[in-house]
Amino acid sequence: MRNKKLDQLVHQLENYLECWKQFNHCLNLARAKKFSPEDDTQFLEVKSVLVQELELILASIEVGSPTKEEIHTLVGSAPSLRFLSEMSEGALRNLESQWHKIYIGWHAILGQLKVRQHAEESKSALASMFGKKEK
Amino acid sequence: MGLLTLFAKPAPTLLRLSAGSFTVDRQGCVVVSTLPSTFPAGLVSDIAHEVLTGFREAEEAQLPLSELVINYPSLKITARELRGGAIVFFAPKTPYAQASPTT
Repeated sequence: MRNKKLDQLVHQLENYLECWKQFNHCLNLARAKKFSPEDDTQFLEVKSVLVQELELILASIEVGSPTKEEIHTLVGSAPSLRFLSEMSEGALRNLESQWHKIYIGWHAILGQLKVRQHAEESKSALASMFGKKEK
Repeated sequence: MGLLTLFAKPAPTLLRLSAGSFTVDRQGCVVVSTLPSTFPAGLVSDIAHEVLTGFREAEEAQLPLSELVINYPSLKITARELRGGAIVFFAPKTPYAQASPTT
């Protein structure tokens, strides 16, 4: 028997991580100063999705790091692609490093969930083995 | 007057097009949406289904897509692939569109 809730959470987190990649893609667009007004609109949407999905994830699991504050600080410091494109290289690098810290932090959480997934799988395999013996 | 209204076609329903986005996981479930809650959920699911089918068929044809853009006269839909799932952006060009085709 698979833990459907846990599987769903893993899928949700994988989806969330892909959205974080989109955030980095937008940072690169700003750095290259190659973006359209449509890209800027999409950047706002990506940030909105990230903040909303964060709440859904936090409602399901306790996350020590990255913290909600860290994420809101990062999202808040990137109001638009135009704003980012006017930032100094140093400030952009700092933003990128914050993004990286958060991104890797989420991967650690995903790894922990996968460990739980494997543990549950082996537990249920053992249970079914002993269940058969009892018969 | 009563006879005329009896045979009159019902007025087409207008759907207010909203700017926004939603994400869909690889199983086709909408994860989050920034579209207003008045936006028909059925329409969002239909678009999610079509988008995922498009990405999957392209992958099966060994022509994987990273982005899919659908240009309607009144709406531009941009979908980006998220490793099996997708993020879909809505950019209306006009404020209204017909909610359902008239017969």
